[in-house]
Amino acid sequence: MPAVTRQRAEPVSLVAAGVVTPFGADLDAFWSGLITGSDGISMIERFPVDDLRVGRGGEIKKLRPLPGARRVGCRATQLLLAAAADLLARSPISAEPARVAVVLGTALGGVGELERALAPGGRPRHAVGALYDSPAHALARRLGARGPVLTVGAACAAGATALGHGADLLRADVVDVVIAGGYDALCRFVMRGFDALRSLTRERVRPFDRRRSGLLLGEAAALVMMTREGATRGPRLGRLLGHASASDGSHIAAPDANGRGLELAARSALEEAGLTSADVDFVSAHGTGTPLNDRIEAEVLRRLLGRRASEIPVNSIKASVGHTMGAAAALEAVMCLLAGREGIVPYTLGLEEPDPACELDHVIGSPRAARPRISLSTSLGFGGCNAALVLEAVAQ
Amino acid sequence: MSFSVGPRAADDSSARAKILTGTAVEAVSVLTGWGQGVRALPPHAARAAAGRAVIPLGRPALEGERFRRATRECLLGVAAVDALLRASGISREVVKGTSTALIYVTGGAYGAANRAWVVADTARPAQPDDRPGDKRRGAVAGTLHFPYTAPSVMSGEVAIEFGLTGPYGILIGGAAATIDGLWQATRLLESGRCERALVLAVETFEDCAELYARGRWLVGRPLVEAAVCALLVPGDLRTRYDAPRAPSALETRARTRAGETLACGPLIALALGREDGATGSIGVTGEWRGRRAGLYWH
Amino acid sequence: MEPKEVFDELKTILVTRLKFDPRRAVDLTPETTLPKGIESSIGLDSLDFIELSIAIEERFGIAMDESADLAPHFTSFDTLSRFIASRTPGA
Repeated sequence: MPAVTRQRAEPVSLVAAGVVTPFGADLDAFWSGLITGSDGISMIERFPVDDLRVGRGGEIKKLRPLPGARRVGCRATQLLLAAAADLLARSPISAEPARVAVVLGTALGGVGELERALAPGGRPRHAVGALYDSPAHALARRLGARGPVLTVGAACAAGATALGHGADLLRADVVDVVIAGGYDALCRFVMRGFDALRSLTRERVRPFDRRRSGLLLGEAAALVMMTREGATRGPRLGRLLGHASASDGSHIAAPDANGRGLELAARSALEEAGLTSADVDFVSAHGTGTPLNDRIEAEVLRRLLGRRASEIPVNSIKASVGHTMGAAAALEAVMCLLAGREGIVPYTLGLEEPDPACELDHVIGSPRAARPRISLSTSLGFGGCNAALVLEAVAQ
Repeated sequence: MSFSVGPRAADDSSARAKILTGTAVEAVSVLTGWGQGVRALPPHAARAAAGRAVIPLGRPALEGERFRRATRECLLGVAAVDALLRASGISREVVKGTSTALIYVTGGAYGAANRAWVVADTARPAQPDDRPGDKRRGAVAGTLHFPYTAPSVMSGEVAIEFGLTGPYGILIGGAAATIDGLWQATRLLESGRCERALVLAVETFEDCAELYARGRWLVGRPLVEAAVCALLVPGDLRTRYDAPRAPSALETRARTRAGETLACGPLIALALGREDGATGSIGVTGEWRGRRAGLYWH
Repeated sequence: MEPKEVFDELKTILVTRLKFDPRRAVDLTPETTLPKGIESSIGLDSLDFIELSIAIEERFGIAMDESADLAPHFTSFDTLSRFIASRTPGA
């Protein structure tokens, strides 16, 4: 456990969110898809997958044309701009440009553009677009944001740390508004990659299920508008109370066998929030549906929740939209806050026969009527990245 | 616009809060294509490059089969941290554990691995002496290669090597991102989330030099591979995180002497400043894609 | 194929696909154990085993049944060579 003492951090307000997911073009489609138990997985059509063992994923089939935009080639940027359109329709930015920051998490950055750069006919702008932080700069330009532009490259845990960094910028009065979140687009690069790792399931994604056999990837962009407490009038989505990260320091592509990094991140995030695990009402798990990860995460959550482990609902949405990599943690944070606002916790699609080794109070089969005020969201990523967020919902 | 991030008052609601006064830069290690340390830097990089587009750093000879699959960027990161510990007489035992934060910054060190991965997708035509069952693929192995296309695996290898299990940060971008990373490190220290912070930057260019050639307007010349690491500790200095219009004298000097080192620039500048004898107050700036940021210890 | 031939091919795979130093490959014997955690093994982890399985599938033209527990076959070069030899045409 940590040797350092941590100061309690000021809560930060999450004013609104905008997303684009395999369920559809906005937040309403996302929430509706989760509540109705929709399956966002399909055969990928945008690029060839016939030579791969698995060609399925959470593909966004249709994007709304963006108003007044000249054609944007980079798919990752397209997703970001679509999510931004949804966000701004709900809450315009009201701050000076220099006081607006953009902080995004991603696993792949502009890698889709690298594929184009190296293909016949590749242009210089593709090479620049291939940089990991190019989509973030494209979004900042579109928003007119002239404050810090940060890209967090912590793989599948990046979205969480993007929100955490954003909160730090606000607490230090560096900016007044942070557009934070995460994104990643499906491309051959990543499909081949996870194929080579044999991580993808040829069946359904079944988080924590005894028949689970792997994950499926998805694409999405999820953005939240964050401000200091009291800076906004009107309804909010909720608050970010705590964030923490911790390295496993054990393996580049597999979690620590005892989940020590994840446990430390979760406890540290709670400490930053001035809370303990006794205050947690709901856990949004990373829950990818891989044999090893799910078991380790479940063990960590049981240790963390202690006697309450059988009473605190836990879910994973990674079967619904796929594992959206850099977007995942941000998407899951939004889901936590919507659950608290709407009084419904989405169930874990694909989970039908919980593995005894993953025993927790899983939300199975249908959404659960519950109004979690304090949520814990956990995420893991390549390189031994572990991140956790503690969120507080605002009751409607 | 500037914001002082100084001493935080004890939070009454947290019984165990410690009062921290600020931070300080304890040490900086510099490995570049010019050699080890800032003394190896030429007076003028562009002249010393004599037309070469890239000044490479080579592959560190690190012992151990553990590194057999790691990319050059990983090894350079390990070498930079190792050089820092050796030069400052800090043992590995001291940094090991949950109290050390690792902030990794890079503009493009993932480029080589990513490029090789994309190129391997191109099937080569069948050859007459292909054996049955042979897949037609490039020279890149799949399973062991793919994880190394992720920037987080570079810092992951450093975390594994030195047993770093504390907070981490991974920021992608050029010199401005390094300023953000340094600021993040000071925040982690001042809020008690760690007892020391390593800020590590690695840049390699050789393996995808032609891609950088295409983005000529974005980066300077010569491109100089580098791996640099700063150690930040609790101290007496407050920091100001800023958005200056002009480069600091140190930024200009670092660029003149070292060349284009993207995210490594501000840490090289830090090392140059310390070489000058700056013992306390020091400021570094960094620019990337039209945004300049600055961090000043005072 | 005979196990001995398979063993030689595996040593090549170790160098070309698993990135072992060629000088290391020279010292290997059929008794050399593979998985990390076993004393004196060459220390292969889960990632290495996936790469190795894929390389074996490609090189020897055999299919690995992912649902089966193949771990016992991957204990040493000897067990692995025999397993592969028994699956290759002409066995």
